[in-house]
Amino acid sequence: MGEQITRKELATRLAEAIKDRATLPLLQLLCDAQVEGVGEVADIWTGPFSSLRDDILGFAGGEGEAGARAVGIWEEEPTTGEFVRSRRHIDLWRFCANVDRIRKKGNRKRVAFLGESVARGFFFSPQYGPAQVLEKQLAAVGPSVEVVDLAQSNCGPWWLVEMTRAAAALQPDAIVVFAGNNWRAGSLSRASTDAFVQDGGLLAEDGGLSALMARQQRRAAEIAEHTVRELAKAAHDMGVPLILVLPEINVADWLSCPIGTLDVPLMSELDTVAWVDVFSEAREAADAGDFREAEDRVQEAINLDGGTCSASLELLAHVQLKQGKTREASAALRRSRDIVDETRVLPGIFSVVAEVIRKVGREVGALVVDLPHVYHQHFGNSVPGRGQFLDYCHLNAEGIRVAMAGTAQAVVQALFHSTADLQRLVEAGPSPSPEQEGWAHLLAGIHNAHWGQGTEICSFHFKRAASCYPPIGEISIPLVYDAFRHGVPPLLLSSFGELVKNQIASTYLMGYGLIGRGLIREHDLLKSIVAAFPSLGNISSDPDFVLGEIDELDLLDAHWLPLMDGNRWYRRAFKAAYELESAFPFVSARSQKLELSIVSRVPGARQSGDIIVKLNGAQVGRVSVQDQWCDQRIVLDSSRVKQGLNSLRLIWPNVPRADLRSSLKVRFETGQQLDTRTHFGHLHELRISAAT
Amino acid sequence: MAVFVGISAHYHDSACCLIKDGHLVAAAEEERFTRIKHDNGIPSNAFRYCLREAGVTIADVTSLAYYENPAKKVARQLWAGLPGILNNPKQRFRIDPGRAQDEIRDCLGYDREIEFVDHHLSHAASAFYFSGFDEADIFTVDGVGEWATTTYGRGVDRKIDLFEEVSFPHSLGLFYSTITAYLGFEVNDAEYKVMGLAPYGSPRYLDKVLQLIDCWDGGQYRLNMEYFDFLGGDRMYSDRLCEHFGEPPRVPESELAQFHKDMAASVQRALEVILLDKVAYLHARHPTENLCMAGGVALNCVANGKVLREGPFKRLFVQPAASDAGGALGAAAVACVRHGEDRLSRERQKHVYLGPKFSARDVARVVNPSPLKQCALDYSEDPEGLIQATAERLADGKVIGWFQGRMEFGPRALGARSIIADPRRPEMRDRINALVKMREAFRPFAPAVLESKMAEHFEIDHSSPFMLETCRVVSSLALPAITHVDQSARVQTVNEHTNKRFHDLLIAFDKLTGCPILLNTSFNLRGDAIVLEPIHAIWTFAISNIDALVMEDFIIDRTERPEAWSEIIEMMGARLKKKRRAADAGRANVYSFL
Repeated sequence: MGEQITRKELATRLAEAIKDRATLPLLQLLCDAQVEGVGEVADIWTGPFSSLRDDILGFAGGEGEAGARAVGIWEEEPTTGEFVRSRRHIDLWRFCANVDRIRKKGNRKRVAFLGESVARGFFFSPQYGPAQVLEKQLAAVGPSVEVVDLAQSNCGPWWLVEMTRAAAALQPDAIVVFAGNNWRAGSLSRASTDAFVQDGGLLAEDGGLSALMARQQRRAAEIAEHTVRELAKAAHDMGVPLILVLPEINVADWLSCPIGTLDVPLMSELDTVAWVDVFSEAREAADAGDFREAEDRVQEAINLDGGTCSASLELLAHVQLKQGKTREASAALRRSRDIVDETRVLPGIFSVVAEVIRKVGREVGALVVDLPHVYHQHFGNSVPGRGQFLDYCHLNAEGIRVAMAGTAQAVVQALFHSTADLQRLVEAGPSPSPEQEGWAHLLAGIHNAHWGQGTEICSFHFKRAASCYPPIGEISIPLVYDAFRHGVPPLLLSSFGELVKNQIASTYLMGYGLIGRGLIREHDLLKSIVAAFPSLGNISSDPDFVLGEIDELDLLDAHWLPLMDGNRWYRRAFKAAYELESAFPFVSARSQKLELSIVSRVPGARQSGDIIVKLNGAQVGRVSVQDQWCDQRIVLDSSRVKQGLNSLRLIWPNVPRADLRSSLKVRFETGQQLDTRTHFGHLHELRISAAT
Repeated sequence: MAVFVGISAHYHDSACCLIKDGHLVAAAEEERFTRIKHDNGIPSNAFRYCLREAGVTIADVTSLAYYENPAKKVARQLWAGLPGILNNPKQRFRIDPGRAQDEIRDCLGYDREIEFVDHHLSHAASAFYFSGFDEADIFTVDGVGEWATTTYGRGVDRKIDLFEEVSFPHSLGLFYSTITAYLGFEVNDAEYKVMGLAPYGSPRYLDKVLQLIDCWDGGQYRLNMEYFDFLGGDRMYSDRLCEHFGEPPRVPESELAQFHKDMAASVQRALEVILLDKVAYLHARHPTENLCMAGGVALNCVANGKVLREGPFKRLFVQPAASDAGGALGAAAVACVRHGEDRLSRERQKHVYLGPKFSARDVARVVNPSPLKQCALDYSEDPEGLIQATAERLADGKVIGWFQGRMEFGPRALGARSIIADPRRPEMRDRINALVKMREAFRPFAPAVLESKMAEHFEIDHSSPFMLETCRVVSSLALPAITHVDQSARVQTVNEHTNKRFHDLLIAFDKLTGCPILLNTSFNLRGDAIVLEPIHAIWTFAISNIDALVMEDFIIDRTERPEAWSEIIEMMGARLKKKRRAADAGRANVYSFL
């Protein structure tokens, strides 16, 4: 009893101290928290991927039913010694090779092929992929080699190492690991005590975010080094060579910053205003064709944001490309892809991770297939883009054949101590059927649209899909259009059932697709389809939400948020505008007079300003806004409202706003979710209805 | 216009409610929107819904109230969780007294002053202000809030005076949860399973159970802490407790032996004995005819029935959302009173239909483009036909998903988001378990009965619209699907004023069968939150084996399932098993004191 009273008194005194929030972080200093290593679950499990976390953790221990040995989803069958795909992992079948049974090792040499979704052949899976290409290429230049496809979509470094260790049960003669896209540091809050103190301080400083990102990059490099060493140890324990295939990324045709949005870091009051000014000037100059001026202006923006903003780096690359500065543009785009942003956890190897794989891989005696180098040699000096990739990092058929040719060279060297000609291997690699390639492009078009890419690249994939295999243009694309235009998940629609009759479509849409998207705004996807197939433009893109058939639209409803909207990562009852102009498409049954209700604010605004409201390109009103919520209404004249699709745009004022970085430090030190990006405005309500 | 918002969050079952011009107009748990069972995050979706339902914006909110006082709570959190806090930074973040305010700012966008209302005052207000009583004694009992675990109070007009409290670690809620954990059930979730198991046993261990707790004269009691372990972080009971009962703790999901049933009976009886003793004390302090109860323990409907039947009070009002979700209601009401708002309605809460509703058009939007359209019947022009057709299906032994009107607030499905069936059929309990619920066979389902005929079938003389009491089944009908082993049932009485369509259905079923009773259980799959919107309902229908879905004006009969859905069901089943296993592995069978 006495002990309890003492404890209560101490707790009460400590609680008194903690009321001063500066004291709370001191508790961290009493903790013995360590940096999370490769054995921990990385941030890839946040956001849309979080539902996979338990599936992967369900593997932990590496044992199947009744203690049987297991290699991923394959469990050893006691009677035959073969590894059989377990039905209890049916939820992961679509993330793995479509192989029912891994037979006992025969006379052929065996290569265990491990990796992530790139190695899986994402968009082609399960009908075509790197492992089968590699096997054919090897057969063309030497003795037949069995390639056991153990690659798995969404595979993180911890699971990769576990899988590699487990692969010993298959008695491989070589291990090929094609991975690195998913190797990233954990979130800031999981850092060590030492890092905690330093990270918190950086958040409030000028240039601090840039330094913080560099620290996160170093943490990713540490994880990469640990992973490579663990992979090497696993291969060493098996007594077999290790081949590391270093991934390349899509540099030319992938925007890190989703189209129409910005990722401007929090800055000082003056710097934010200045950034908006120079960035806007740069865009105007670029639009006017004055690329030199645009480059100068956007460099000023980058100087202000410290290179932590994809939007400015990508604008820089754009204007550099226009001036023929390919190498500089490529460097800017790679810098953009190296930005660490917790709201967009996309696969893609960081430069520092690539360097670690090169350096440490060689140190541990692994053969490193340097794909950036292989592609550079094979494709010439062009910046890697749609010629090799279907999205941010997943390869098209040509990309796969060249990548695997480079890998085959290494396998031949490791197993047979001989060499093989790259071009011969490329030619020996099988191509997918036109139907398979068409489906890959169709699914890539959907994927690109969901991840905020522009109409041009999405339409490119849809057109390619139809040119590869015309029935896709006639049947499948209209089905996709129908499946994604309703206010309910495609899964519940009849057209979805038709689509997933195709095995490639089923693998994507019922594997990744079910996880990767909920109810999201699909106007960008539909717009891209219509750009490629104008005849579909006659079909309403939003039949369930037509103003005139329904009384009003809540444009902030979850249905209206794109998948890449940063708000999806934060539990907000309002929309934070990360962009200078917020766009909201809506469909009207006819030309009609409408009323727009707006509840808005500019967080931290030092003075009031006006939101400019544009409808279909024309200014239709102004709404006063300040740092407190304002509830206002404006009437949209019927002459401005079109029958069919309309575009509402809100242009936020560039008013001076308070420096919010000090509050960021407090949030960090108390373990709360950090948003390091500037909100140019907030909308708590945006409703449009027929005017009375 | 006066608009008061109440928020509960950061423990379990976060929720939001809104009182406009003195009337409770909207309330919902966040889990229904996010589909995360027991979601404890700041209820941003529920908040948006409440504003919209009330026809107001955030700029109209007069005051926002939070259901507990984080600054007061932190000392108790430190007391209970210091070792964990020091070893786990994530736990440290949970004790931050500024977290609620920050997240209300960041997630809800609310930028004015926040009213912090003590946890048990929120509970007390959620009962008293919605009881319709001008004067009542108030009794709140739960695991723990700030320090209080039990409070005694009195409400007169708009004034609540909590005059005595029992402080942590002495807690009837934790006492019951400890035995729940010892019996291998999940703490903070499965206490009602212990209550349901109790009638299968005999209270042969009552004396031993009562040795765990020193029940003093007056309002105080003390847990004998040598039997409890609230500090270790791994479990709630000590080795001494296992020695005391001479049995090891039950392994979760393992076979239930007679010992476990007898233990359940004993702890249930002990709780009833103590509650009766304490309400008698409360009555003695302030004699009155009315009692209000709230707090998680007040969801123990068996004990509530005893309190009313055997206790000194003539009338009992239990807040139907008695657990933390309901704290949002109390907090909003307290804020309303603190702001001198004299318009706070003192009417008795008549129903719990405070959540979102969906129009026939909303339903059609989901049904029409789906493969289910071919087996959907639209009764929008024939509402009587809908009732008749539904009653016929029930009489034919069909199990029906019933989705009508505004969603319930609180843990019980009361005829808005329900699965319903014929209670007379002996096979029905097993059938529903096999089709959708997959729950323990010993747990009974509850009946909904026409209020006008309740006395013919149940030993009850007052309406019980919230399923918060049990009573004896005295029906001449055999009602095996809803009658517990001890001949009791957890009754919901239904009248035409609170849920007309459900009432009409009961009448139609009565006309067809002579039975004015339906089995009524929540519309969800095991481990899922109750459905909120048509998409959830249709998907739950699609992946379960419910025979028909009656959603607003549509009846959808089961038909052959599309192939893709069957594949997804198998995938989801595998994933669910892994999630459960991961949860079991990661879950210390212990109440989180943070």
